[in-house]
Amino acid sequence: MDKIAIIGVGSTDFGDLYDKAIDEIAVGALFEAIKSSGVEKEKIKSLFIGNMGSEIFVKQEHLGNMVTTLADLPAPSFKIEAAGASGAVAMRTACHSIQSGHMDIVGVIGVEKMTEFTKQSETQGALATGLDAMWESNMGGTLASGFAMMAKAHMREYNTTREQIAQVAVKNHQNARKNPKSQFKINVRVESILNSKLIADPLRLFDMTAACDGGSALILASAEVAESYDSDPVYIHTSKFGYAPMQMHRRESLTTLNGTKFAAERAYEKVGITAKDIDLAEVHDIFTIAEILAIESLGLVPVGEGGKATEDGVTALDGSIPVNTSGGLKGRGAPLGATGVSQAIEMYEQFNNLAGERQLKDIEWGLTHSMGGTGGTSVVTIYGR
Amino acid sequence: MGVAESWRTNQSRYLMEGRKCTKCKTLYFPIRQHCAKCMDDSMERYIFDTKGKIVEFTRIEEAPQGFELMVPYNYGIVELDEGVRISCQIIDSYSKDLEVGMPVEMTFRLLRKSEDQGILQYGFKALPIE
Ligand SMILES: [Zn+2]
Repeated sequence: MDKIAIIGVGSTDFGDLYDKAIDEIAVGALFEAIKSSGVEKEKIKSLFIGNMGSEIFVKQEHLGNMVTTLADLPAPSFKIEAAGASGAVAMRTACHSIQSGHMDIVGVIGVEKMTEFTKQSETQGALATGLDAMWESNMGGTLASGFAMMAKAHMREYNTTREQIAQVAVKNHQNARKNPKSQFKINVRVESILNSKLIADPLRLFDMTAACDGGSALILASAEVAESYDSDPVYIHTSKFGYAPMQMHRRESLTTLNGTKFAAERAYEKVGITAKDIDLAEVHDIFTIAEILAIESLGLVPVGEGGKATEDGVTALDGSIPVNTSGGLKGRGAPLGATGVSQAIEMYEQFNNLAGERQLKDIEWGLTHSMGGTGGTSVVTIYGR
Repeated sequence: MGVAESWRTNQSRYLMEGRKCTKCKTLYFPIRQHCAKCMDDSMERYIFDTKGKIVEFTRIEEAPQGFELMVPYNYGIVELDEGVRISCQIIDSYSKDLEVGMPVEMTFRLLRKSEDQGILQYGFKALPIE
């Protein structure tokens, strides 16, 4: 695929944005991205909006039209849904629109408004819509129970410890404290995670992401057009899609994210690199255990050693392969449809030396990994110059 | 879950009824119209054996709507003797006594009352057997 330039980024704060409606969040992120790109608003040919659950969370569909109306931008616009991977799939689809030759500059928005519910069971129910409604959710299953079973299987097969899993949250919250737009700028200790409320054994409240509002946006352009806005853009070199069966019980493995593995292998092959060439990664840590499975399935650490690598600091900000420098879904926040897009913003900021206290040095290749549901959909994207 | 959906899935939930492709003999649970391999609808009725074993399980303490009163409950993946896997609650047992590989038998129970239309929804849950 021809590489696609990221010429502008924008993001709202992540958190409980009780004073902002979903379209206001989306437009806030979009306008910041447009301004940062220097592109005139009218030049944006289309908007691709990643959103998991506007209908469930705020009873609003026809989101594309709603956002372009508020933005006063009469361009084709529509919502793309793939549960937690919605934003990443929207970004990938936007890249294809440019590669098709039909468009030269497009906008990508990831947005979610999750904090309107008053009961935790409502949130659990909404999150469970990314599972098979009849044969998982309706049987009593939740998103948490899916990841809990992955955690149990990983602990049994590889002797991964509960403390190692908790260390994912410790690390990501430490990184989030260095990100001004984070939902949770707090320090979390292993003991407080292990003493928090049990959700689905062995996962506890602090292993989870919380309901969160937020929007992130990108302005993407073809390499030719990008030159007039940015002399040295950050490029999306490839974005690959990986499939696994939706239902956990239909998966061949509970400890390998086969969709993620598939997408990663094809992404590395396309760019002509290997996992060893990756200098930083943002992965879909919707639960702590998900990061351990992700870094293994992406090939960033050996299979079975994700827990130990996390414990040893391999994935820390000063480790050999920093993971979730933004704070991840865990610390930065997880407005689901926005997460895949905000990962790309972390890449943009790291490559352009805009990451402040989180800034890494000498980076050549970055990777983002987004998932829908318990891993039925995976998107792996690779960034570089 | 709505009335039509409940009716449509009753046989699978009540009787462990699935389908067998008459061409390639692949077994499916739940009932489905087409074989994914042959893309053909020449499917015949197949009633699964009620015996199986636990593949993985967890104890759920934070439940979605309709399950709050059951908390905590055990939930897991069960592999039926035919090799097909399903997800369901695992009942009449403490999670500390459950183990991966433990034999279970599917049993007919109330799953939940649907909140919107008040349907009492029945189906299978796994009961550990010695
Ligand atoms: Zn067949």
